[in-house]
Amino acid sequence: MNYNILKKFSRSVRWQTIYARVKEIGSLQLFNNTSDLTKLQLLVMQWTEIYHSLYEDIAMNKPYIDEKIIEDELRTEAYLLWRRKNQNKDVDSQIKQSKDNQKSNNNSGRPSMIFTRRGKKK
Amino acid sequence: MNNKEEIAKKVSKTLQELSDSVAFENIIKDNKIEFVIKDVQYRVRKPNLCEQEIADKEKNRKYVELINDDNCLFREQWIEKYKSKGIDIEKMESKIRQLETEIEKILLKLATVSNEADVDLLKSEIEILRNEQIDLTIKKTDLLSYSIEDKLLYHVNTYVTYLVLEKKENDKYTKVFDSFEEFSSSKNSALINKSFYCINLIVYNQNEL
Repeated sequence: MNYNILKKFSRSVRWQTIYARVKEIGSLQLFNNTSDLTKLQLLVMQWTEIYHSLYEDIAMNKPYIDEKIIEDELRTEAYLLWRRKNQNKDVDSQIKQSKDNQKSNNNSGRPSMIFTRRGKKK
Repeated sequence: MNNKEEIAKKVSKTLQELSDSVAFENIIKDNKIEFVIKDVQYRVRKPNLCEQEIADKEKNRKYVELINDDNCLFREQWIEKYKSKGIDIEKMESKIRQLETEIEKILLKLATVSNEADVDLLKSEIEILRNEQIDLTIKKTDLLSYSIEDKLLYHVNTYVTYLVLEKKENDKYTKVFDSFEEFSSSKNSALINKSFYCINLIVYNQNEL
């Protein structure tokens, strides 16, 4: 057995269909045991979810991904890395944009808090 | 190759894939793995809480034994010892990380190209770097395999395998070995090797895969 069998199994149509049904219907389960999962079961779940997300990317016409790439493990690895880096870039740009927006909202020159002095009553 | 041979080859490949898939599904269906050696059915399973506690106690006992042994050294001590003899493990680790960074750069290029020739070229570049990385990792692992940490890990893996290895008799599973000493001195290497392999899939890392 090698790592390729695990990936091949996780992306197989049959297993992906079972996984999709399990996600939809709560009473179905992937394995006989519902707790105390083995390392191998966890690994299968992890790769099943990864391939599920890749098939979703294809359905959404995302760039640089198609069925041929999913069949090629090295190209899949490359795509996953590229996707992760780009997602991080998106998050970074969103954070930067929200910070810029905050700055521009403070351009009025008015203080964001009004301080009052508690002194003696006249 | 004529048409019939091609079809036969395809059918054979499909059947093999199907068989691999069924075998794999059988392994992951629950947290036990069953296997047959010389017509006897065995299984290993995930240790229960009680067995994990027993294994932890054994780990502590072995740890004390190892640190009291003057011939045993920790990884850090081995690294220093090797350094004095001209073998720099830290440099090896740094080279492994550097190779990983180079591989990532090529992977990012590979993700965005579609031309077959470019794809093949980048793939071969990655393969060369990966092989270099694997060679270094194996060398490092071999050098540190005598460390207290590695010895302890091996001992605990062996002990857990002894705890959870069972055979089927009259539709009931019972422990194969009555004591760890009996397990350690067993001459049934096929059974021991298969049990190690299976327990690694169930409990430990995925390096075997």
